Amino acid sequence: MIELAELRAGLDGRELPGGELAVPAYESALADHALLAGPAAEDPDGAAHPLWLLILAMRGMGVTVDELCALAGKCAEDTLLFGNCSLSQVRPVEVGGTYRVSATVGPVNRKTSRSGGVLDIVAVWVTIRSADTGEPAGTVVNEFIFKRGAT
Amino acid sequence: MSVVVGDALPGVRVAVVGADHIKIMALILRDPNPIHFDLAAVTAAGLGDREVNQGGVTMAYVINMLVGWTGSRAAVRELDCRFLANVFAGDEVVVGGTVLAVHPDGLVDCEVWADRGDGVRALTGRATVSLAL
Repeated sequence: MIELAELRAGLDGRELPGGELAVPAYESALADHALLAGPAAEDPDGAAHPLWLLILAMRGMGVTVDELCALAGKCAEDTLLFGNCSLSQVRPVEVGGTYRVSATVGPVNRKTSRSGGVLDIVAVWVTIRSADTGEPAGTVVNEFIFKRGAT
Repeated sequence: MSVVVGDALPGVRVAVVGADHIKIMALILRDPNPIHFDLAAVTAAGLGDREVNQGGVTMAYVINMLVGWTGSRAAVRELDCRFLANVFAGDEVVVGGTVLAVHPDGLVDCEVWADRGDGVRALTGRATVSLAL
């Protein structure tokens, strides 16, 4: 199992590549359908579903979840859990808009579970801004839990 | 809208979580984890024999409740969720909440949750919405 000091040295404060991506109308419509939400056209502002902050964060942080697992020293015996998600919406995501995503890892903490297992908790802070105006759309903090195996 | 501490939010019931919806969201999220679309992978992971809903999608059911209550997607300001248990394709999900605080500027803090049909709490959290729009 990776040592906590090594985990922190590799991840804590690490800036991820980030990215720029759009919210196409057809993907917004498909997401509304799959999320059992009304269409954006029925919203007073025509806004995309607020979950788009999480979608943009996951797609735009610049590393895949698999790559994040590799950075966290995840072994086959370890289990990745999505522990916590915090969304803060400053202004609604626009259907058809383009957004710039920046992401930083940290803090990284280790806890012992009630069953005595080791849990490494890795937070990823993501900021989402309009690519056109630079105005903030919101922030997302995701906490990934690496439940370490017995080895 | 008149709101006081202790008010129950108008809950939302998802009668059946659809496997096709989980698969659509795997595409939208670019989430390659096979537990969302490959039953062999679900079984191999020891998670049973039904596709696993994304935690974010269960969170979206809570957002749907907040949007339905406030009438606006822009009204959802903050949502902090802790994921406690998996939701599977075919599950019923019931979403609810309670008003915790009402601020003079129109912001309202709420406790929120999502329960599976078998009574297991899948998600718990806090939300802040604006009723001043």
